[in-house]
Amino acid sequence: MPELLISGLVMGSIYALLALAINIIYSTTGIINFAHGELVMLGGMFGLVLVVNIGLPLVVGIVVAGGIVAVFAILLYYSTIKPFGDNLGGSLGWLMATLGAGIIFRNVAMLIWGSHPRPFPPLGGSELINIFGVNILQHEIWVLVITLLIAIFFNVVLDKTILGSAIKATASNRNTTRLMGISAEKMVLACFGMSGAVAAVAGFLISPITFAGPEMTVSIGLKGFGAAIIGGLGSSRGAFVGGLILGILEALSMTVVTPGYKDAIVFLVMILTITIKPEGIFNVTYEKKV
Amino acid sequence: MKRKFNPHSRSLNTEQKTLWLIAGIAVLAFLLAPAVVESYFLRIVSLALMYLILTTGLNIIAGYTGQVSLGQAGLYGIGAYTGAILAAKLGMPFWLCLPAAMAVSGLFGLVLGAPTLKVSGHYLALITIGFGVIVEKILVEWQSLTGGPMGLAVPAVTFFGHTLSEQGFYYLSLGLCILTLWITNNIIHSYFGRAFSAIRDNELAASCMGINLTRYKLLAFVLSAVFAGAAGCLYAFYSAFISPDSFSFSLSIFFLLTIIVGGAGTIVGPIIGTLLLVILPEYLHFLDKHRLTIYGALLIVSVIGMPQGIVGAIRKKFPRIINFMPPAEVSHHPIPRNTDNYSTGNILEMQNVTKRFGGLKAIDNFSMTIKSKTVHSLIGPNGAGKSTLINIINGVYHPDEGKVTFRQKDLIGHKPDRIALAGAGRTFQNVQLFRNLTVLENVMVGGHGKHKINIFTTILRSKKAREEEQRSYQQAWSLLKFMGIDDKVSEYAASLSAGQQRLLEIARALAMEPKLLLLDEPAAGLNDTEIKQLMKIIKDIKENGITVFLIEHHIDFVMDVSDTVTVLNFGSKIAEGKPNEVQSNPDVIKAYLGTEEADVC
Repeated sequence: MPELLISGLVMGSIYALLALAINIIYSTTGIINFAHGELVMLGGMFGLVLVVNIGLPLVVGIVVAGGIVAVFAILLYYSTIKPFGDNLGGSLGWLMATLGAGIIFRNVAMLIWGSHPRPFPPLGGSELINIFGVNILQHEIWVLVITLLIAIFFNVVLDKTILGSAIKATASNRNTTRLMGISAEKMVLACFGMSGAVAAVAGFLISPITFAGPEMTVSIGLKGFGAAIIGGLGSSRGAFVGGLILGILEALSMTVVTPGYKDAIVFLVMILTITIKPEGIFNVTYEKKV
Repeated sequence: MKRKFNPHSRSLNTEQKTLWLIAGIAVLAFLLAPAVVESYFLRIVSLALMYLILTTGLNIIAGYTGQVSLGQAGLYGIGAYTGAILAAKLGMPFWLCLPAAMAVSGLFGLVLGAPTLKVSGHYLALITIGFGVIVEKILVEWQSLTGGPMGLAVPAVTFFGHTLSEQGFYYLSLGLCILTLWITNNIIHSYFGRAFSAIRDNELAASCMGINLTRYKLLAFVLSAVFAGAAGCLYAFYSAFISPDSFSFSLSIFFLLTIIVGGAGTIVGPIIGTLLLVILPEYLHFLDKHRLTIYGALLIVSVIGMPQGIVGAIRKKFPRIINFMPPAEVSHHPIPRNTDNYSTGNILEMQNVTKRFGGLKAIDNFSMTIKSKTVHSLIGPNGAGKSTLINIINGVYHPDEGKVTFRQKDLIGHKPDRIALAGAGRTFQNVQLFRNLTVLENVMVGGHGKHKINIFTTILRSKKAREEEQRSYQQAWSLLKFMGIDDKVSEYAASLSAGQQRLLEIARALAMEPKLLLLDEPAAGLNDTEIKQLMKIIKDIKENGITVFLIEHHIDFVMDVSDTVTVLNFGSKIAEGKPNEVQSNPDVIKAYLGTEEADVC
C-alpha cells in the first residue's frame, strides 16, 4: 500500500507539472494548449539526444532542452494561436490548430527517432534508497521536489508579483493592458516560454519512468489537462493539488480494477468533475453579466 | 443541394442552376461507378460513403450547433461493436443489427451530450476526448464481450439468403448515405435546424426566442450519435473484422478535419471534405509516411486560412447562391394581433424585486405594474439598472427577492425560453443577432415557438411540415417588408448596418407573436429618419394590442410614444406617471441634472 501511494504521488506530481505549464498559458491567454503533451515529449526526445547521444551531464541537458522547447512553444504560439487575434474565446480555431501542431510534432518525431521507446537515465542514478521501510528511487524524490518547487514558483509569480498581475490582466483584456503600457505580446511570449521550459523538465522527469518515445505523452498529456481542470484553471495551487489527486486516484483504482481500466476511471473522474464543477476545486464562479 | 430552403423555387439564377447540374452529375457518377471502376477503388469509395454518414451527423453537432465533439470515433466504435456482437454472438442479420447499433449509439450520444448543458468550448473538447479514450479502453479490456485487442470477426451481410457482393455493398452504402443526406437536409432546413444554428451563433438570443437549449443540444448530439452508430455498424460488416485500434482518437480528429476542410455548417461541406480526404490519399501513396503530418498541417492551414472551408470560399465568390424568392403573398399588416381577452388589467406585475450582484444592489425593492395594451417606458441615468430589469422579466436573471407575475402567472425560476413562449418577446441593448444566419432566417428563428410538428414529421417533410414552413417564411418576409429591409433577406445578419440590425431585432421579436414586447434602447444609434420610422412602428405595434415596455434615452421619443413613464435611479423607482407629470417631477430633474447646491460650493 505505501508503495502504491508513493507511485501515485510520483505520477501525480508529473500530471501536476503538466497542469502547471498548461495553467500558465491559460493564465495569460485563456486557452488550453492542446499540443502541450507533445512539447513534453519533445523535451524527453531532446534529452535523449543531449544526454544519451551527446553525453552532456543531466543538469546541462535539462537547461539546454528547456531552452529549445521554450523556442518551440513560442513558435507554436506564432503559428497556431496568434493568427486568431485577441478574442480567443470567440472561436475554437486555436483548439484545432494546437491539436494539429501536436500531431505534426508527434509524427515528425516518429520519422526522426522511430516509434520505439528508449530507456532514459534517471536523476540520481538507479539505486533504491530506503525511507521508513519503503524502497524508493532517488529519481522519484526529485520528481516530487522539483514539481513542488515549480508550483511554488508559479504561485509566487502569479499571485505575488507585478508580473503576475500583468499576466492576468493580459488574459482579461489585451487592449486595456496595452493602454496601461504593458506589452501584451511580451507577457504571452514569456508565458509560452516558461510553459515550454517546464514541459522540457517534465519530459526529463517522465522519460526514465515511461521510456522516451514519440508516443510517451499520449495519455499522460490528457491527464495533465484533467489535473489542470480538476484543480481549477488559472490556479497554480489547484493544478498542483489536482495532479496529486489524479495520481493517487489512479494508483488506488489499480487495487480495485485491472490496470487496463485505470485510464478509463481517471477520465471518467475528469469528465464528471468538468460537468459538475467546471471551475475546479479552487475557483469560484460569479454570475455572468449579460 | 447548396440552395437554402425556398418554397417558391420556380426561377433559379444561373449560379443555382449550375449547382443543381453539378449535383445531378455527381449522383449519376456515383450510381454508375461500379460499372467502370476497379473493385479496389470501389471499396475505398464505399468506405468514404460510410464516413460521410458519420461526418454528416458530426456536422449537425459541430457545424450547425457549434458544440465541438472529439469523441465521434467512440460513438462509431460503439455502433460497430453493437452490430458485430449482435451478428457474431446472436446470429442476428444486418437488417436488425443496423437499427440496434443506431439505438445504442444514440443512447450514448445522450450521455455524451449531457455535459454540454453546463460547459462548452475547450471543456467540451476534453470531455469528448475523454469519452473516446474510455470507449477505446473498454473495447480492449472487456475481452469476454469484445474479443479484446484480438478483435472480432463479423459475418457477411445477406440479402434474401444471398451474400451481398462488393457491388451490392457499395450500393447499400450509397443508399444509406443518400438517405442520411436527405434526412439531414430536411432537419437543417426546418425550425429544428434553425434552432441548432441559433444556439451556435448566440445562446442567449436563442433562449430568448423560446429555444430550449437543453432539448436542442441533446437532440443534436443524439442525431449525430445515431448516424455515427449506423456508419459504425456498416463498417463492421464491410471490413468483416474489427478491433479497438480502428476507433482511436486520431480518427475523431480526422472526422472533424473533413468537415472543417469541406465547410462546417453546410450540407455539402462534409461531402466535399470526406470524399477528398478519403480518396485523395489513395493517389498519393508516396506520401503515406507523412500522411498524419500532412493532416496536422492541413488542420492548421484550414482553420487559419479557410475557416469556412471550401464551401465557404465558394459562397464568398458566388454570393448569389443564396437568393430567397419572395413568397406568393406578402401581408401588408404583418404585426400579429394580440387576441388576449383581458384588454384591461395588468399584463405584468413586479413586487418588491431585489437583485444583487455581489455586494451591489442593482435593483432595490422595486415594484411596478404594466397595464395591458399600453406603451410603458423606463428611463433613468446610465447604470440605474434598466437592462437588469428587462433581464429579470424575461428570466435571464433570477431576482434574489420579490415576485414577478406575467399574465397572472408567476415567472420566478422559469428559464428565458419558457417566458418567451408564454408571450414575452425582447430586443437587446447590445444587438444580439444570429450573425451567420441570413436576415430572413433570423426572423424565422423568432417564429420558433409557432412550429408544432415533431422531428419525424420534419424528417419526412410531409405536407403539414411544408405548410408550416411556408407560413413562417411568409410571416418573416412580411415583417421584413414592414420594417423596410426586405431587400436584405438573403444577406447575412452580420453584414447589416447598426440601424438595420436594430430593426431586424424588432422584426425577429415580432415574429414571436408576443403579448408583451420588451425593447431595450431600440433607438440607440439610429438617425432621425430611422427614429421617426421607429416611432410609427411602435405605435402600430400598440394598435395591434401588443403591450410595449420600452427602455430609451431619447427623451422626446419617450414622451411622444409612452402612456406611462417610470424613472429608475440606483435600482429604485423615483417617479412614475404620465409623461408630462414625470417631466416636471423635481426628483427626476435632480437625478438627471444634479442639484443646485453644487453651485454654492
